[in-house]
Amino acid sequence: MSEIDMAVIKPEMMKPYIWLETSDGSIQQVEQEIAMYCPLICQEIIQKGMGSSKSCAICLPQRVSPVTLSLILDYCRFHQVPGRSNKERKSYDEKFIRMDTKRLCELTSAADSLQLKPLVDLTSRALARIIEGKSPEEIREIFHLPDDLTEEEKLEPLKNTTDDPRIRLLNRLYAKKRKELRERERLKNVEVEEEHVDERSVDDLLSFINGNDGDPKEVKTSKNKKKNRRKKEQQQKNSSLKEASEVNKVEVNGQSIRHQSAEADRIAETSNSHTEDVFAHREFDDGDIDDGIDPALKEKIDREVEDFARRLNSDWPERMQELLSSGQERKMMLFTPNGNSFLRRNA
Amino acid sequence: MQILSLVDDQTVITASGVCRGWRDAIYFGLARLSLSWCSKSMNNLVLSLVPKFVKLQTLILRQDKPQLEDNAVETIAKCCHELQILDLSKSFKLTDHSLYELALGCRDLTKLNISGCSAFSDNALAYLASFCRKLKVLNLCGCVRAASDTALQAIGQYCNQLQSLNLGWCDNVGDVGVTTLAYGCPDLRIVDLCGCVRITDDSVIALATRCPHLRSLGLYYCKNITDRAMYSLAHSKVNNRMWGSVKGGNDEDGLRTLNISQCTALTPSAVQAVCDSFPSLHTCSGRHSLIMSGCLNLTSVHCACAVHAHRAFTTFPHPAH
Repeated sequence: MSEIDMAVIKPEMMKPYIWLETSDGSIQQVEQEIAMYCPLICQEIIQKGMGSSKSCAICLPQRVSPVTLSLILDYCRFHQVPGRSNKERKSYDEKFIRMDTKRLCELTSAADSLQLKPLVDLTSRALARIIEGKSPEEIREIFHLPDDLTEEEKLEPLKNTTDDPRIRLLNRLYAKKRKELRERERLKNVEVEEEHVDERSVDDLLSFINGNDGDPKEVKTSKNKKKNRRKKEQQQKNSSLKEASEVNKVEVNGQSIRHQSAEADRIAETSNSHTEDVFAHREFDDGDIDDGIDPALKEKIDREVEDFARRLNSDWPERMQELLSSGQERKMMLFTPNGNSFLRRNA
Repeated sequence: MQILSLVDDQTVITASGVCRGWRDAIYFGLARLSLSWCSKSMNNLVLSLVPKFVKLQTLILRQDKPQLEDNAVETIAKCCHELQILDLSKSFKLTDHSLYELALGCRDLTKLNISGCSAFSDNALAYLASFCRKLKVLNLCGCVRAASDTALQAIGQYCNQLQSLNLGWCDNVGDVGVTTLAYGCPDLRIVDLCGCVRITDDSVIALATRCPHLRSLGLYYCKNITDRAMYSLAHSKVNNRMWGSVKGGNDEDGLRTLNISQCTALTPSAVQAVCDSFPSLHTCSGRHSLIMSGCLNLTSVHCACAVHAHRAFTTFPHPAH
């Protein structure tokens, strides 16, 4: 190129470039004017004098990959041009954030590490729009997050919310079952006490202690009796446990599936270990609600409640989703698709 | 957390049930939470959620129908030690126990709204004031029992950083309380005394002379206020200007809002003096900041711009005339 040609080229046409190194070690040459739109890069250039050559390239944060860097530079290239109308900028921004969620997350992270606030705001708003109104399951699916919370932890925010009549009804059912278990436990204890009543005379006892006339056969039979009694008790325990867990059985296409809810587990625990009832002081202990009702009607209600619990458990994931939805008033509606009636809440 | 700051509070609670990472980030990062959307079981929600959000600085629990009970406020006081802004308005069920708990647990409170909490007593409020000494904004509107001279004396003694106080319809408030307040809280900018029927000119004079930063004063329905109070306000501008020249104050300082509706004892000359002293007070439409409804004898009072407009209109009459 001749000197005359060089003279024709205006200084602003000779754009200065700077060197940037991304997380994977690749080095790119970028127009300084555009790169300086990012406060972090601007800082590095002004304060440390970095980026002037390939050997002293500006090392970008770990979260900035070559792909996200090119996206960020596109954004900067558009926005650093003066004289663009707000409408143009808005239109560009809307198109710019039309990308998959994974890339949007990476872009937010990269923009944040480069301290590029306008882009962070833009991408954050886009992500907020994605999240809003979604259930935890949907959010997990969108962002490919692990489902590492236990059922109890998922329900934690709702454990004290008893507005939903279905939750109240289920708690009532559990309370009823607990009451039955307590009754059984009490009767069992009474039986055991009765069996242990010793009607032998003092002389007999003394002779037994001294070992006189001690028939080994008799001792053996008493041991057998004890064994039989233990067996009986075990059977009773098992039957009560079975009943408690049957609350959570659901019939799906003829197959019996068991839903292990936290409450059922607790009931099982109480029936296994001879501890006093841990639910005695529970907020929802309204098992005595039916007292004074006609027995036939009571039986009918109990049947309905058990049937209801079965249906409720089959619909648990959907219910979770609904419970987390807004505190607006919602109506209860009953649907019966394919003859199997189930409950669902509709706005 | 920036993303979650852009979504509504229900979504934030939902997000805390997504996974462990999100849950921990929300529990230890959330600074602001509002449960005002909750129309039925706010008390239960507070009991189960608040202990987890340990870094809360702002908690809005405004209610349409009373739901909050003392046990919820007790939980807040025990768990949220960094709380700075708390809104408990319309919590009719709360008792003094709540204020005692807040006093001990949330000493960094800067804004407290307990408007409509009619069950609180003045002793409990005085106790709160003695502990929460960083209070800058306090709304006691409708707290008839709590807002008494005793409570205001305690506030004046301990809450020296107070900038805004709403005493709307607290008809037990008298001159003793307001005067002590004016002396103890020189940084007061907004004082609403609407419906405080017992106060007289002495209260306004104390505020005018002792609170140089006063920007807004509500005297609606304070029927005992006379011209003496108005001239005191007008004169305070002169004093404050002298004081401001030393401290580098600007001409925009001074009253910007004054409500003297239903103060029927006032005369036009006294109110005009106030209006002339404070250029930010307007009677013209669109910038209405000197409110005089119900004072039929004050119709002649006009702000400077209204006078200029009137002059301009008379100088250049309509061509049709």
